[in-house]
Amino acid sequence: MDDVLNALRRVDSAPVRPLDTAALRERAARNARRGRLATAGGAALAVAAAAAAFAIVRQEPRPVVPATPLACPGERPPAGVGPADAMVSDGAIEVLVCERTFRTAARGPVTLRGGDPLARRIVTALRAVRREDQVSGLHGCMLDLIGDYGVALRYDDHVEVVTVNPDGCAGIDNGTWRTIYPKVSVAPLLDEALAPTAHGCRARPALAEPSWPASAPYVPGPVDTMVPDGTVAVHVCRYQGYLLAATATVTDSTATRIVDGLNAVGLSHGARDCSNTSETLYNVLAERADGSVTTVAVSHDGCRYVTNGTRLGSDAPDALLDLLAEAVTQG
Amino acid sequence: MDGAEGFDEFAATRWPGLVRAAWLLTADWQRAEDVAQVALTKAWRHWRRVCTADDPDRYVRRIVVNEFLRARRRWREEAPLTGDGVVPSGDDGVAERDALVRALRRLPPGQRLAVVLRHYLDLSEADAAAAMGCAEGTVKSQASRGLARLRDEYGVERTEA
Repeated sequence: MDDVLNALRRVDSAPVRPLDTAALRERAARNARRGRLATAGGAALAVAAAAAAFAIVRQEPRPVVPATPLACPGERPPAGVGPADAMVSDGAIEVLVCERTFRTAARGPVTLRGGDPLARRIVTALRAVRREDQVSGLHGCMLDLIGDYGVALRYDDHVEVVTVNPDGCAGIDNGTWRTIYPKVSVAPLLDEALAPTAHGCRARPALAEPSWPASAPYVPGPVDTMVPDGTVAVHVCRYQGYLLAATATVTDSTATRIVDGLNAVGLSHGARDCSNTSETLYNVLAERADGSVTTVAVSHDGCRYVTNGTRLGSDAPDALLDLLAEAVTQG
Repeated sequence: MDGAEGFDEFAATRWPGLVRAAWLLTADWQRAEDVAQVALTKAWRHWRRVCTADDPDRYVRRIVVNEFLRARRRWREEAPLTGDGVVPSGDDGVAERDALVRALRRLPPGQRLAVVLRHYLDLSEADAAAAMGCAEGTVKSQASRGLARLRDEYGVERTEA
């Protein structure tokens, strides 16, 4: 048997996250009932079942690296992490970019989700850097005196940390090896990642499981800390899948109506049953006069919920979704 | 095998293989999970028919292939994948699988499908033809050309890796 057929056979050793079969059955049945209520057609049934099925595996926590936020790399990457040529351009990877100058974070950090094209370009560019020779020493680079980028990349089971030096001493360093390049193609991408964006809309917000315990008393309003008074601007970012599709900033009566609409949403203890990648999602950032910002995620398209990161409401009203759609259209 | 317990056992044991097959078809791990989950959801909806079929595995593999073909039409309308697919890690075969899926990505869709159906899922030419909606001769030629090209592409990937 040749190499290719052997490689195909060895795909059977690829690890697969376990499936919660009972959850799959329950979700399919529940959505089938919803589908029958909502429409006599079979299409909605299939859509609802599919949308529900999407979430069952995704709810599995990442196996080794828990949902700890990625931190900006320190002064140097820790020794012992894998070389960057082991990186895979992974659709689910999370990339955190920090700029450091004189050991102080100058810009960032910015977190890019895997579906963000820029995240993929960064990983692809890093991956394209080949280790030519094991280079020891600093080769005249005064690492403490120049700016550099720190990049942390989270995979399913590990985190990679890379340092990219764009100035004076161009190079990539992952702690175990160092490559000196006159020009590093990664650096412009990292600069692009750190460039100002529409008020933090670069990355689609994570859909964390609500931390609100089921035994806690009902608390009305997912944005009960967000009062219309004093709100001066509402930034609305619409994502299609992981991709940022549209942004808008509204300050007129639409902003007030959006905040009122969010406050009117009740909370439930419903578990998340949303795909991270398939549905439309709005990220709403309400900025108050004092500069503080409250971020709320609102999703629809087969998975309707409102979350403020700690609590989750199971239904996003049509009126609220219409308002958000209107806002991004205006923008 | 009838009933929920039978389905649970069936789904749990077949799930890894279905995901891996879907991964070879989609070259994207998340999409593979989606395809496999939707396929099993459909299998559960028609479980009585599936579990009494002559070959339930073949039945479900057909659902996976059909779901992949259906989803592929939808993906074309969405943002395309610009990067590489997720490569599951966890053992020493990461680089090999990465190279394989990169090589598969370079195959025309018909050839890739034929190769996976014939050489990974071990479908007969007749079953593969039924799944692809084409003649057995087409499957034979697509699989043959696909495998030849895959050997070349895989060799290049392994050399560059």
